[in-house]
Amino acid sequence: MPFIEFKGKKVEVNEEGFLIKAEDWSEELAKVLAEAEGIDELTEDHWKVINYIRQYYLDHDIAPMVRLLCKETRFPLRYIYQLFTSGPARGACKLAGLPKPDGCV
Amino acid sequence: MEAPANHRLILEHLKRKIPRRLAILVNSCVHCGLCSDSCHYYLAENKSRFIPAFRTDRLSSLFRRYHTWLGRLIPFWTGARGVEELSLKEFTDAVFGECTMCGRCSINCSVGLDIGFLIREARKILVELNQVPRSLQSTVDKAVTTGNNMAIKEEELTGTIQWLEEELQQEVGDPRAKIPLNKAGARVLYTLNPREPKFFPLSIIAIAKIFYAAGENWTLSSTNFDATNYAYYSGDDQAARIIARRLVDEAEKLGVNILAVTECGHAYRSIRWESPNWLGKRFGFKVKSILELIADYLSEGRIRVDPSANSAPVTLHDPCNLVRYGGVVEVQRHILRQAVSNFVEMHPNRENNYCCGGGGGLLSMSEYAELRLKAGKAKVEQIRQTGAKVVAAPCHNCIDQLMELNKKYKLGIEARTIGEIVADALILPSGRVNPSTDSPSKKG
Amino acid sequence: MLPFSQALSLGALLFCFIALLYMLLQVRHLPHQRNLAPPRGRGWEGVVYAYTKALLPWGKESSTRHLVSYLAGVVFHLSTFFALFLFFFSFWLKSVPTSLKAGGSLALWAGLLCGFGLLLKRIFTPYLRSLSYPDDYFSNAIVEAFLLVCWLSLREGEFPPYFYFIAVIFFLYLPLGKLRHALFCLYARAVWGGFFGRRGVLSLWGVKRTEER
Repeated sequence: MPFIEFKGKKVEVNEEGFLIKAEDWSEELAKVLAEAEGIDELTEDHWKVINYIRQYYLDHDIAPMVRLLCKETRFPLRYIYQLFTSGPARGACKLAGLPKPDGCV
Repeated sequence: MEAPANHRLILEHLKRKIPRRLAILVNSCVHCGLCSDSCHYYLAENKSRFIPAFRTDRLSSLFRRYHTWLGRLIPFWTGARGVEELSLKEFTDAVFGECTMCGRCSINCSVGLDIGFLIREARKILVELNQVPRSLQSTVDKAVTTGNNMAIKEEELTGTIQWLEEELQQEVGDPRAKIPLNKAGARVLYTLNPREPKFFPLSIIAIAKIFYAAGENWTLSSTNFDATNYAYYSGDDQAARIIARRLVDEAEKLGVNILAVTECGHAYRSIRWESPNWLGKRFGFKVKSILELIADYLSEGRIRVDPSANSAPVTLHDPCNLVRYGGVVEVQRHILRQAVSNFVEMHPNRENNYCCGGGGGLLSMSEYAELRLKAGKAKVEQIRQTGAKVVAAPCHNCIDQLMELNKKYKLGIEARTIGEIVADALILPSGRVNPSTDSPSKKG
Repeated sequence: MLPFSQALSLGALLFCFIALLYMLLQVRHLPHQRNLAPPRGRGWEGVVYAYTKALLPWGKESSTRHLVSYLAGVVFHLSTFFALFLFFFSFWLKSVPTSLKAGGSLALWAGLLCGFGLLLKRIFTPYLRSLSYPDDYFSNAIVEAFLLVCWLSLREGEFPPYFYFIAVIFFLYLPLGKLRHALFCLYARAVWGGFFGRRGVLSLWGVKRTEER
């Protein structure tokens, strides 16, 4: 299984860089994951999205519908695509420490 | 060496479940090797195990061992291999991880063998052995257990559709514009790829806008909306049947004339071409790609478009299961020639187009992600040569792969559905038609 | 009474036919899924396509890309058909008419050269070697041996016993090794054409079919 070095520890990720164990996640780690995504700096808006997805995942064990994401963050859909150019699944969910969603992503 | 239980299963399969078409195929390959460079894996990685004939030989060699005279007597002579020599890991890698079943080699086989079909037959064996790569299997399982491959609940879908309806009304400036749900007697039942409501709903608004402009009498289902069928990829006919039956039942329940499939290659292929065979019946409704409907609207003058709205150079990607295996070849070109001002074909195209690399369920199989992106090289080169800024890809699966290729190879393109491109160019009727006027005359 | 060698070759031919027929019946016996989806194109059009356009050197990208190999293959096959024709012909005429000698020799030599070239390619191209088993080399060799004795017979002006002995090996081996593609390829090609023709992907006149509204 691939892993990333983080604070002297090995964190397991899948072949596409999604965390294997969601509990490994931390804000620091999110920054490392962001770099791999080509996002140099996580802005306040990035965090708003990440934190919402993270919390929703902890409560429901699945990623939220993008509608909820827009509603809760009050960001228009297109802005979310701008923030995370790989899209909500491969981009935002990955940074929020979710395992890779099933389906066509 | 694999467990004897596996051996027994494989032997049993080889004995009882070899269809006629497969037997003809494995008896016909002459190892000429002309298929080699028709494969995007071989083009990218130049290893002999990526030659389609080599890949198919993993199954053919088993067949020869148990079904041919020489294979039984002097196996080494014809390269016949028994189950005891089989490495399940290699077999799985070959048929799941290193082939998108795109069928480019099938079109180019000098004999005329449908190699894509053979690979799916090989996948069927692995279904029985429980060897389907985990991520792909879990997508199939989700679909079977929850009704769609992203486990979207009914209230989540209806909530999203309401939200999209409001967006639509704003965009067209008409509060009567609707996205109808579960409407019995509609002419068209439109089906989605779950990733649209879940993560990428712009494509739904685009199609809703087109339906609105065309005055179509259409509907979505709030429960059986998933057009995809990942069991087609995994080779699991039993699951494929369960998934397909839902759509057919829904279409019959609502009494629609047309089941329209979203821009999704394998979904179209599954429901249009494979499902009648899986379910053993002919359908009482037509199955169409949404592209066919859009093309009809354009030629009937039901919608009008202004190509100047799409002025950046646009090229077209031909999804394997929609084009090479689906026969939907010309309508997308017909549409783009009207909806964009600068349309450039990539070469080769149509049934000779290269796979994006994400087909065959590969997009969902993280296990093989690295190779998948390498195998996209042929596609990347094709796109580069067109100089296009937008790649129209009538397949959500291809779009995701294209977006990833874009990132990795710094192509600087945007991958979009054809629906989105058309919606941008749409000229809305001034004296707007009311889309909910569904007089019976419109039906049929 | 037929000479021994000729009788033997006819026996081998009979075995070949019966074996192929048996295999064909076996295959016909296997489960088969009928196509229930309404066609978009025409199956027969695809079949015709498979046996006409698809055979042209520019009919498929693979044949265009490997033009030399493809043409060599075509010549090798045509030459083999010609040799088979000579085989049947030999039972009617004891000696070869001169009119056939020059042209026939040329056809056989062309086939021999092409076949040998393909054999060398198989031996010396790493990727092709990785696809090959003894059967592949032997099948090529036995066909070439057959072409060679055919040519020798033409030169002699008559068909000597060794011509028939080689034919015996050829006919006995045909259903066993990959040479059985002689039968199955025809079948597979038709299935291929029918499949893609039905789906509207192959069309004879280059116009892809769109479905009725």
